[in-house]
Amino acid sequence: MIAFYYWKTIFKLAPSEKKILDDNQVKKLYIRYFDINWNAKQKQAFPQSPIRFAENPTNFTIVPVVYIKNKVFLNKDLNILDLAQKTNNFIEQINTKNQIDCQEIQIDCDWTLSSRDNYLKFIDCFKKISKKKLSATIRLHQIKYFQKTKIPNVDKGVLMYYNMGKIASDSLHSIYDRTIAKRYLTSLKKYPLPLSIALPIYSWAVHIRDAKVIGLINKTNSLNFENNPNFKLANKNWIKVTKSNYKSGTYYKKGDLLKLERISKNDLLEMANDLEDNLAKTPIEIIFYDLDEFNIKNYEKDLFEKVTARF
Amino acid sequence: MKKTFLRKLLLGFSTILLFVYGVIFACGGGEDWGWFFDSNFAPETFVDKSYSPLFLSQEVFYGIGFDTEHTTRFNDENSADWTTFLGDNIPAKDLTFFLTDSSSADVKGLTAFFKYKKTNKFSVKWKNKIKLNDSKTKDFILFLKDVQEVEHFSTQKYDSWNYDAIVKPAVLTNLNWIKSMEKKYAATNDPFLKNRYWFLVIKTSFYSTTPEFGTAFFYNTQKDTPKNTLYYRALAYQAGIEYQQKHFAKSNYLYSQVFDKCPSLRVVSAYSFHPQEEKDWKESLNMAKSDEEKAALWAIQGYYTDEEQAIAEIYKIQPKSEHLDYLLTRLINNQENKIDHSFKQNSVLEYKKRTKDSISKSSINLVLKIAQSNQTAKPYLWNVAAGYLETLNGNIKQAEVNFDNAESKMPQTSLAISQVRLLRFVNNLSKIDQIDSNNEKTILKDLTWLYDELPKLNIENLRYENATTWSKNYLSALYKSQKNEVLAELFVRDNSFYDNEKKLEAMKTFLAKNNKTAIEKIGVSVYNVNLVDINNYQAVAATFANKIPEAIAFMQKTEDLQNVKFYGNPFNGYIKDCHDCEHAVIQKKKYSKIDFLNTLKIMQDNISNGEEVYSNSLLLGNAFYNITHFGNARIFHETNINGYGYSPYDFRDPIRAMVTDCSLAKMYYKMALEATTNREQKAKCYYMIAKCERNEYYNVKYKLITNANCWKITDDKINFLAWDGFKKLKANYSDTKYYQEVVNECGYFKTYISQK
Repeated sequence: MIAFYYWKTIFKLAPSEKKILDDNQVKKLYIRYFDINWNAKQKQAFPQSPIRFAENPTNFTIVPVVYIKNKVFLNKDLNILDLAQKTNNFIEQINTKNQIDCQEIQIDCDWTLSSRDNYLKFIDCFKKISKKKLSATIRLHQIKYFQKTKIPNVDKGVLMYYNMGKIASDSLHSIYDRTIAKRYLTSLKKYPLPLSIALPIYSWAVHIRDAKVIGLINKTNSLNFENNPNFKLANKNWIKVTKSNYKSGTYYKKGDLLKLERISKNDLLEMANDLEDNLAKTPIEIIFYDLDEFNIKNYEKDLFEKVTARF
Repeated sequence: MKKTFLRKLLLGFSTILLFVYGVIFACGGGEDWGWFFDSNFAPETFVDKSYSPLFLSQEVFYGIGFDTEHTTRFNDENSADWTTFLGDNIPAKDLTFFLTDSSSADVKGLTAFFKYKKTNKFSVKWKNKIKLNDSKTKDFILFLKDVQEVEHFSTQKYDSWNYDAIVKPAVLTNLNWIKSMEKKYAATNDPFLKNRYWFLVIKTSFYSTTPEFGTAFFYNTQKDTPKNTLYYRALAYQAGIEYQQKHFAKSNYLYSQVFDKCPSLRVVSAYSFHPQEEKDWKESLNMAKSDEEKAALWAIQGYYTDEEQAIAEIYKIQPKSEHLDYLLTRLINNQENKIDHSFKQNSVLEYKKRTKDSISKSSINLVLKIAQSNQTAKPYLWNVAAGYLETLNGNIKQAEVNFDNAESKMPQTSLAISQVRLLRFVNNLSKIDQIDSNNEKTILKDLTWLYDELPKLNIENLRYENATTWSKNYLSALYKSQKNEVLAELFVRDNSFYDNEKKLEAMKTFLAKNNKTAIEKIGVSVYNVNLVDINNYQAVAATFANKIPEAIAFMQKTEDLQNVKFYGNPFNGYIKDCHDCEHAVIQKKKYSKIDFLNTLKIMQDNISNGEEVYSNSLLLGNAFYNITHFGNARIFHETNINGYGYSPYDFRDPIRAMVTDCSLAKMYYKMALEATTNREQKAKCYYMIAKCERNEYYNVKYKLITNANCWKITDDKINFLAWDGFKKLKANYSDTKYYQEVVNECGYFKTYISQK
């Protein structure tokens, strides 16, 4: 089954996005509802950038996704029960306002050993309060070291098969790196939770000045810089700024470097093969991150089906 | 949580851009306080305060992080303006209440009083405090009533967990009300009040569904309006509206005007300035009607982009522009930021070459050119900056000329004087490639000033921490290359220095000598190890080597340190290791470090004489056990040179090996075993030996732990083994009392014996 993450702050499907959903008979959308961040001054958690619906997501099963920053759970002052109640209430407000009915909620958090206990307690509380099915995103290291990181009390996990490396000025790929992935793949069979798989279809450019990362340019690829005299394609994935200029709201200084990171068709097929070889069971579904007209135009329309068919 | 909703922020910047950059900064983990430690150049020295948030920072804004003064920025100016208008009609305290506190009920009540000319509870409340009969008071209150209408929209508070309030903030929809404000503006003759109503029309429109009304009004009336703060606040609203309409060139042009003319809005305009494409920027430049306006555009652009280019462009058209000052400080701080401040194993020559190579030649050339021209408003600032860059570039003599020029003209504030002295010192020390008794004289005074006097002087904003660390590294590298290990150690402590016997002795001889030179004295003053520490270190090492008479001799030379008392009784041995419990046990005698060693000596002598061998050996076993990491007397091995720690991994390798080694204790327990006279004693010895075996097992198992690979600790779930002591205890002593005590207290043993 194919599903997509919707990660923008205003829900409005572009024609090409609608088409890809139709073509692939997508029934389920995982929509980022809001982030939860920590206000250090007031010592309180607060919802950030909540979604607004410019159109109603009818015809889809909606799974609200809440991204909780790890630093929220690092706080000793955190009132976990209160946060679980507020989170559930905020999701209900959004659902009511936009006439959405949901059966499942997903929690996304890159928890660490120091935040683990708070996070697990939160999941327990939230499950009781929401009375819904719960899913949680799982990072590769949480699969391999699950005895230490523990397993959240959810109905299913979603393995995030991306964000593998550091965003750095070196030549490595931060979205997908097969060498890194392989270190974790063999642990998949032992993981006790049923899993869905999330695969990346996004691309970005790492903006580097004086060998230091100074920013990320989202939703970009080499085509955006082609035939622009201010930029020179240095080699496959690297672009050099030859003349200082503004472009799409970013200032590029002469000498800056852009490292382009994208996921090719072959990368996706390779990921599917590697995962298939190592998973104990067929995954519940494949969720692509993220639905956006810029991302999907980079792939042939039947690729999503081809990738899913490998499992 | 309550949040203030600010429409102008929504108009003024892209949240997405900030989000992305915010993440990167967060990953960097840097805070500004950390940055000071890499800089010698304080931007505050000569630059106007209004630029302060724009100084180079790892945060969004220097010193403040984020701009949080959205609703308070103009409080002081407002109060001052109204005080001038009202004279003594309203005392300062009450004026503050009306302007910034919850005064809406009072304002409403007084408005009714003025309107219906009928006494009410508010007029009664205020009649003796403020001059209610004065027309200016009435004007003020009536104006405030109108202002408070719009405050409902301009400074909305909402609950951040309330979805409706976030997605649909209240907006003023009543155009007629805005028009009524326009009428009041037209009808008012008093220039002060007229100006206030003028601003109110624009502000009200901005927070309404018809901002275009305010824009039209602004452009129709701006010619006749004084160019004061209210004017630039109104202009900033226009810039925000242009941004919302995606007229980026115009928006940025207007923001640059606000930046240029209204110091209190510099942060806001710099935050909001945001060209999208190169053509927006070029169009903004074309909109500039004068060199001054062009310079303003470069000034605000330089904050985000390339200060070197901005400086060059402004200098061409407005060399006296004040904006150049803050841009120059960003340029210098950016250059400093490129320098790798670590010396590693490098010589000073290698360090200086690396520094020279890392700074931008074009930046140096530009600053030198401008400094030489003498055409700026603050030539001394340029001379100081040029001097510093010359130092970094290796032109020591030229740097001196620049500092001389600066000193003769600059304002003589304590920050400025100290700043130049600091940079001169950096220059002077940079001259020295080989240190000798002649050139060391040139830095003595400044070293004392830097290390000893400055920390006490608290000169606000002076960044001297970097020079402190750098100079110590520099001197240490000099001495190291001249094979003077002792002086090199004094300026930069090497943790493993005392692991080398020869170096240790050399340091002792040095510290003991009386005729130290001036620089040696400075070295000693910044060094945090003294003879007492070294003797203590030697006493501990001798104890762990079981050379007790030697240990006593060293310990006797540790002044008061030898009298430090142990928290627990170091001669007691328990089934469980729990040093906090053992510290809490009532102790008739408290042992000091020297008492402890002397007692060890007596016990060892007793054993040599064949007296009470079992008891003495057991007590010695306990003593040597307790001074390891596992015992109740860690205080014995925790010293300035060994280090301190909750975990063995807090200590460097040779020290960790020493303090986790229980073999000496085991040796004495075995000796005790040989001398036992009954089964109870034997049971006890076997158990104590098992404790030592257990610790050996942990030492080997966790040998590879470092912070970097804590994920890789093997989780084999093996907590204990069937150690020899356990086996013997189980096989032969299950009928002893001690055996029962062990079963009751030691879970491992209990588990072991219950296994089949």
